[in-house]
Amino acid sequence: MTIDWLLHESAAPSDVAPLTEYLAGSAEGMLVLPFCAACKHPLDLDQLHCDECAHQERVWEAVDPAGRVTVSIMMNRVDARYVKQDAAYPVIEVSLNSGHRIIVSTSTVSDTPMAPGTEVRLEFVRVGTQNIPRIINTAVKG
Amino acid sequence: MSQSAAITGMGVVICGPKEIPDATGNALSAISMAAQEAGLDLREIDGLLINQNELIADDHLTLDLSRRGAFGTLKVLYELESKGTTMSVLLKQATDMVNAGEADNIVVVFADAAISPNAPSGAAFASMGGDTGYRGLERAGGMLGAVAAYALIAQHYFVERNAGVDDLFAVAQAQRSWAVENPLAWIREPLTREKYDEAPLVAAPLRRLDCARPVSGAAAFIVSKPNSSNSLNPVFVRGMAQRHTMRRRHAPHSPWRPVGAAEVFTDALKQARTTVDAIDNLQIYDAFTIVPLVMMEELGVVGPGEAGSFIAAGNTRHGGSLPINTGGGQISGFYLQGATPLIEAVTQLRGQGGNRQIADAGTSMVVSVGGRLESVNALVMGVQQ
Ligand SMILES: [Zn+2]
Repeated sequence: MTIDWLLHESAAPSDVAPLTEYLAGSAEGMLVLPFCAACKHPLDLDQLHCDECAHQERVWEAVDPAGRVTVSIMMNRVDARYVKQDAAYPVIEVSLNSGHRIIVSTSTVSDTPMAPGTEVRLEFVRVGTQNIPRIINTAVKG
Repeated sequence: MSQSAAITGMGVVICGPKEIPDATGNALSAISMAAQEAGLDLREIDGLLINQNELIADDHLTLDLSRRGAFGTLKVLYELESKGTTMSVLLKQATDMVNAGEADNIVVVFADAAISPNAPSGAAFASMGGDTGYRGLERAGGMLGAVAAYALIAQHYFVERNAGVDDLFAVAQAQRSWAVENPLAWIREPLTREKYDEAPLVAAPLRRLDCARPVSGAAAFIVSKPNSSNSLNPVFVRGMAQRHTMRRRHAPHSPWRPVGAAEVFTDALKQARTTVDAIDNLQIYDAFTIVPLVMMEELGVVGPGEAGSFIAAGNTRHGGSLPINTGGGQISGFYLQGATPLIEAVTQLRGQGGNRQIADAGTSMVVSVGGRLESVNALVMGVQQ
């Protein structure tokens, strides 16, 4: 597993609830996210009841690690407690094909935002002891 | 007809950057100032409503404020947390309680210790987050601090409304034009485009001058039935409405729009038994320049994508058709969270605005937001009950 270019291990999330299932999935190289057990509506990681049908059970499933960029920003103020480098870096909101939205950066060094609508795939990089999804950007950089 | 409860006293304390902040001490000072305006001895205060503020954890008010001060027997004492809308909610609750006879002289108070000589402005806010839950995952995505969340909202707005940085600048410049005449504002020079463009980017597209100015300080309001010992005209809380559509991170829910804002606007006017034409100033919680743009459109005071040009044309400045954030707002004035727009509304309605006073200000609307534009509150205040 590639060590993340961007963040120090201090930025690794804790695997306590509600990230337990998510991080267990990412440890296996899968993007695992919750859905309503009744209507299959995508749910937030910490959501216990379905906002679509009010059902109270959920299931965790591996999803296609792909989607579209909704918007992206550049983080210009770099927090040295968490970030390895000095230069501004992109933070990108992705709407996954599953319907979930996640915040990610890129898998290799980047100094530019990504255009809304760009189709992207994710891979995992290592931050501390956790696997964290990043947009595969090597092809883009050519 | 018996007199309704009103805001009869207000106190504001803003520390200088070299002062060691003390949330409780500042709150008690603000309460003393407010009580003096209301003509009250501190021991006549029988209600204490505290804006819970754990945005920055180190130094904040607790219920222990009741012991540290010299209040009378309290008939009501609690802390409330409703994000950025808390102060507006508390003022409405205090009004209702005094009208119901549950207490006579209620204090509504907020304090913040956001900066100190050892912690430069913004540093405390930049470290918000944590390693658990969504905030933990966002941090692992490189998203650090509240500015990034609002930068994403700004980008959504840009994309969906064909807007851009010119619109953010319009807000910053218009509000600065008001701050020039506000003695409490942190910066009082007119803002040029050159100066704006020189400001460092924090999270593009947001620059430092697009962000609220953190301060340490406190604000207190006394709610009581007006009487002859009040030194200033009472300000009545006439109506309030709110919506809380917590921000979901999946389709089909919007990642950025404050859902229900238009209903909040019309419901608040209805509660106040008034119309939009009566609103002669609008005070919006503006932690970032993107917020007034979004909120003006979502409330329905301008059409989608029109806020920037409406502001750039001077409509929100002194003498314009709809004065907005007439003290400079949180961006050019000071950031005391939900207290900032309330302080300015009370100042205008009392006619204490000095060179920035709006002629014959009779009705203000305060729009506060919480979280990532997920809570919206509109409070109508006026000089008539
Ligand atoms: Zn369901």
